[in-house]
Amino acid sequence: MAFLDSSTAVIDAILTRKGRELLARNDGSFQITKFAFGDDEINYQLYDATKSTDQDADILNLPVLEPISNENVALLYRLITLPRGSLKIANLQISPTSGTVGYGTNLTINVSTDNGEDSQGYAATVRDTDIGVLTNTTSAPDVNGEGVFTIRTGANAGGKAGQTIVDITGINSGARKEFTLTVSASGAAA
Amino acid sequence: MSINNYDLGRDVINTEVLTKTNYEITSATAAQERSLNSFVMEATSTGFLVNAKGTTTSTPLSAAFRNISNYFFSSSAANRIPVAQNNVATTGISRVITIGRTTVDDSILSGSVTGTFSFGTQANKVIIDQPEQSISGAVGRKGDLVEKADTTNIVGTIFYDSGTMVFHGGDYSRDTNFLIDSASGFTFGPGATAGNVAINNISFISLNMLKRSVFFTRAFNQEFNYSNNPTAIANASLGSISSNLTGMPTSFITTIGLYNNSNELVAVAKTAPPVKKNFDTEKVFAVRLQY
Repeated sequence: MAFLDSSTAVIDAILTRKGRELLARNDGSFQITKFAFGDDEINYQLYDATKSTDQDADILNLPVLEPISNENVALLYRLITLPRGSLKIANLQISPTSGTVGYGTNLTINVSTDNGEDSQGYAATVRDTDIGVLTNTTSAPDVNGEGVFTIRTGANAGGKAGQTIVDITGINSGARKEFTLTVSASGAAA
Repeated sequence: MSINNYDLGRDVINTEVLTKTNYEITSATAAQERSLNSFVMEATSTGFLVNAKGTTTSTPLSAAFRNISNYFFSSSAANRIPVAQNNVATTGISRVITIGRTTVDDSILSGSVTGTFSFGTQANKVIIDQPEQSISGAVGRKGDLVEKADTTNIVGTIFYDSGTMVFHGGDYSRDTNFLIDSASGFTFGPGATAGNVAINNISFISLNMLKRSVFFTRAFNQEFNYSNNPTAIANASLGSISSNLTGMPTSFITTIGLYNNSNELVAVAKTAPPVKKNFDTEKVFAVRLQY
């Protein structure tokens, strides 16, 4: 007979920059109501099926980074709940798949979900807000399950040309897609 | 599903954590290190305030007096404050100890202050604080500073939240007169000379209040066994799961994200080492957040 394992891991969380901002607002928007798990540092290719035991030893030995306060990169890859035997996970379809626009031109991205659904919609962030600014950071799905994001550039953003990434996430599915945005310098003030 | 709701009644514990820190200041150097400043001021002072670092500032002492008079005592006559022991007579002179925010933290603990003062050639007097029973002022909880040997002898007022002690009274017959001429000074460290008031030592406790929430974050056996990690996906365009993971779906938890109702990531915690999760296991993490 063995002892029952009653251990519960206690781990400390840090506030993200968004969390600090919402806490400072003191308007109730900070209240934590949901959670998600992530596995950002994991490389599943390290799983060694040729071993008879401990096939995942290399994965379990991976070092884990300390938490990052930038909410845009603190949790990239969410774990998901699917029925046992699933062979596919949700996959975001974005259109266009990348974009090059003139300085000051708006760009629209359409997003939908294959192999699943995102009934709560989609969330998006731009990594360099000097190059592009989203008019909406969340988008509810329309009757066809499609969300829409609009990005402003040029003087309507931070006034910078160049390339940046837009991260789009399905709120339910956790599926992610990166959209590469290029804003040409043409038309920018010298 | 990649984001779950907490059952706020079952999964979340909210508490307040109170940290107390004891301080005892026995010298001018210690006072400087802890950002304690002492000065004497008159409504008619022509000098300037010297800060805790010993540097003369551009703030006139008369302006400091008006500030104390208006802010702490709501005095309409800016050049007078009530005398501590009777609150009828007024005075144009007082002595002050201010404690910097880095030492005060959130507040001075009421009932924790003890100071020993020298009055010229007289025997030392011990002063303590007596907090008011209910908060009546607009500047937070305050209390009387009284002589320990005779607590009816009120010599001043302490404002706990700002860490300010104003000495604006004292019974002459008990040699606790803080209203003597400003030229006699008000300094830290023993060794008062005739006509001087010295703070031999002063001790107090500061309070730091933190909110602590613990979120019991559960991954039941049927949950969170698949991953959006690109290394777990065989074909990104199709979303097909790597064949290694289809037989016995397994995930490895390294990160726990806490979200608000708008799905904004407000806090994040990490596990080390990665925690293995599959259909045969359940995991519970107590995620602690202090702010």
